[in-house]
Amino acid sequence: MPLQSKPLPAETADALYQATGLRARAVPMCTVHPGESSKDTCAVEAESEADVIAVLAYARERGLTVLPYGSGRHLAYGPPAEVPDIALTLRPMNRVTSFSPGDLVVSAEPGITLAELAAVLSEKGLMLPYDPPAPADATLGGLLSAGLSGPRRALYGSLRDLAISLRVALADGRVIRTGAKVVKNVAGYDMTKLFIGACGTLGVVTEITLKLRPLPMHRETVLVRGSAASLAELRSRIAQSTLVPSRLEMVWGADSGTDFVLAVDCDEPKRSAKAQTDAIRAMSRDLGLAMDVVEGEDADAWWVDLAQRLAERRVCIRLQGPPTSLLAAMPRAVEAASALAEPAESVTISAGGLTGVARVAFHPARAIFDRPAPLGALADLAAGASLDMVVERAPAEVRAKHQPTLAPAALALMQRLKQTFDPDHRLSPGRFWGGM
Amino acid sequence: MRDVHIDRLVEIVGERRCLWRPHQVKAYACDGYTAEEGLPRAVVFPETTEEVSRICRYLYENDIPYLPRGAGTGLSGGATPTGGEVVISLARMNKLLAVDFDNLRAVVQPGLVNLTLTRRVSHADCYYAPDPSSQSVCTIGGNFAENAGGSHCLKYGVTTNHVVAAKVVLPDGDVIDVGAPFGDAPGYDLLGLLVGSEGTLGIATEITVRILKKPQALRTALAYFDRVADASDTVTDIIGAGIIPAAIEMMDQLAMQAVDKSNYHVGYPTDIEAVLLIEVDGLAAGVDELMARVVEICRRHRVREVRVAQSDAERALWWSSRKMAFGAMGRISPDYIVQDGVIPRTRLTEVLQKIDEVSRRYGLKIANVFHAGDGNLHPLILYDSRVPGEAERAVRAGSEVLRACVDAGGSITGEHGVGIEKIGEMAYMFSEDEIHAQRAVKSCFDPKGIVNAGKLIPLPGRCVEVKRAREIIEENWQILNSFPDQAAVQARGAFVQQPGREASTSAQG
Repeated sequence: MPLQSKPLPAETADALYQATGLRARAVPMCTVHPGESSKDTCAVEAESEADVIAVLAYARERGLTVLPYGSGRHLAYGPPAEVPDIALTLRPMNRVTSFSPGDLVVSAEPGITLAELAAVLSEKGLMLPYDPPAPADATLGGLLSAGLSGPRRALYGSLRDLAISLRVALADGRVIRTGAKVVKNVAGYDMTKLFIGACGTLGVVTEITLKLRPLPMHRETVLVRGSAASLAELRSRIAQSTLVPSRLEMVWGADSGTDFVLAVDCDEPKRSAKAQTDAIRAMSRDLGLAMDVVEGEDADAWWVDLAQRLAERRVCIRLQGPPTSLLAAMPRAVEAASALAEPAESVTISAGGLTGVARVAFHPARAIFDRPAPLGALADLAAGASLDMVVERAPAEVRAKHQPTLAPAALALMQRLKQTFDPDHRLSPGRFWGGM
Repeated sequence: MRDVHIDRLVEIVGERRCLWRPHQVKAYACDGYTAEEGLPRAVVFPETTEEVSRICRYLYENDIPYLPRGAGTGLSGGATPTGGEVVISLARMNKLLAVDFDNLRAVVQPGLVNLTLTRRVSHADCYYAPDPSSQSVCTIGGNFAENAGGSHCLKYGVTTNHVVAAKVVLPDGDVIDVGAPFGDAPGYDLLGLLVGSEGTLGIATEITVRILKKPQALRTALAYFDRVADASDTVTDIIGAGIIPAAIEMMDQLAMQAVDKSNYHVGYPTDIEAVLLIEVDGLAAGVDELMARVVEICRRHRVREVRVAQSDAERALWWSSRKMAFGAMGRISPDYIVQDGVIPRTRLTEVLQKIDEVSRRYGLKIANVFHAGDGNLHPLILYDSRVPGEAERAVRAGSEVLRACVDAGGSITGEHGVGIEKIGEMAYMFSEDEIHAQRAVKSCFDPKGIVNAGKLIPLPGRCVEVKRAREIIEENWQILNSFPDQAAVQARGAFVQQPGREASTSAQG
């Protein structure tokens, strides 16, 4: 449908209300996603899967584009290329739809936040072992669509390991279920994976089923301070031991000076955790490193604080590769990021010593926006250390200059998948790599 | 028949690595699921990604159907050339290409045997976690295709949780890299789709997997229960107490009788309903305490006897007894069908009752072997193919068991795959829209629909047909019984097993 025939957002809002009974209104796009265009879009809230289906049906009928989102916290991770005709938030869909503690399985709507979900789970002594660096109001659906993971991936895997079943409303009006609500299942293709990290470009997820774990009986985190080189040596000794870290990150913040902190978390029962702490203490002493221990709520608070610092910066770069190379590159990453940041103290870095995933977060200096490659210093560093770099979050003008490249055959396959599930390019236009 | 296409394949791999004479290719007529066979047009043995790519490109351009094959231990017919396909055997691509112990990754060729990988890294106290019972023969490439599981899935996950990247030859011969050895690759999760796709979307020729450090310590217990319900409640309470055991396996009395007649005699009491094999692992400082709590929970649920293994030999015997359970069925029954249903574990007692009811109704014994931690049931339906009608009854009983699993909110297969065996049951589990979406994915990878066609995803209309055919058979099976050919068709799913052959090929589950 030609662009000029598109109705104004206010007209869409009226007509959408007439057609579906859903409250819709015209709002500037920047209220949905700060920093975006001030052009209007038609914002509408879905309270149920039926609402989602109704909005998709309306969009199909009128040839309109739809941007599904939760709190808008991860739109920067693949920002929409154009202002969508309809911005559909699923934030009101925040119910737990089924919960079977004995089976370690929960199903929830995508608008739920991790904190809302955790409240329900912890009553039964369970948790979702998932700690992405995200703001508190980020929704499960948004995190799933962005495909983000956090330090706990070291022991528990990423969201693609935890999500076992989805309900998805497709662009053509059909609703499919992927996988099954059991922890082991190989019937058919593993379609759940297709929608994780797809930025809402293949369908609108309306229910997510996840595997759970018992809440740890004891919490204990070891913090070792030292130079990157000595901590890298400590990391190797831990990785080569039979210890069971649940998170292992080498962290740098403005208060660290030239030192880093190696944080090693433990979810094992108390007696084991104490033994693990003793083992790390012995290794640290051997390397001449100073060590602190935080326990219980203090340990949790330490990790929450790290996640928040990473989540709150306007730029977040992911570097990934073998942990040994990754940790070795971190002193140079501090240097490179500090030169791009304003203020320089905003730089926060956390490098996974087992996951091989590092995040370099900072507030960008205004001066870098106009450069042909604003993040060039980090990109060069990554290339030199054979690490992959992904821009997780950045202002659109910075991000646009650092698109990952995909091999032609893989890109062609992804484009065929997009064409199959959303032939009219109605969903999340332009959010995906290669403008999908 | 040697024809121009065989000549072209020989040009790529040489005479010695291309079989085409009927007596040579006969061994590739089926995999571990023996009820259906098809003679392959040829079997080729590439040794490099480049050769696989050239073979695929040639076959695809010439519209010649083909399928990949590993060790052929699959239990659902995924590697059976039902359409006279060219079989691409990855058996010669069996190298361990690289191991990075510091970063805990290994890169392997698809033909490397699962247990060989563990053996090759064990000097550094590492292992590869997914452990299907066939691990001494099955290949990592086959595990990749089937998303293989094993006994330690509850805590350590299945193949898809351990494969992080792969080089894949697409149906048309293009080679792509999917996944990322660390972190996440940009773009759609093609790797996630490929794992478990049963060779219908492409052929992995280099697979990067996570390797793990062996646990510092483990403790294994055997617990005898008078009642299945008590055993089941024990499992629930162990997990409810915040303990995720490395494994919890359950066997019922009939399965115990079979394994006690095999080479792995444990001496199970003959009047108990269920035995649990429970393993906890972790740091040495904590495992005894964990095991003590497990034992206490068993006692709370009226366990008759609970023993903790006192030696590696004892532990090994208990595990062998469990892992050889399928093969041991040959000791008590001439034939059996193994099913692979999954249920929410909390509904175990109820589903076992349904299975018992099916067993009575069909007049067939059903033994139950069960990955109790993750709800993966392996009911073994015992029958005698020499008794007219019994094979058909067994197939229908198996189908009813799967239906009971799906009705309880579960799945028709937890680790054996759909293949050809369960393709009819896909329609129990998925709606037509859901199957349509999966077919659409298949078309994106394989627009010609010639790569391992007819496996995993029912072809258009097929699921409806199968449903109807099943209804017709259900209504008329007594009549159909009198036609031997029809009986053979219905016996799809019958795993024909010679008594006493358990040690050779049937170490599955």
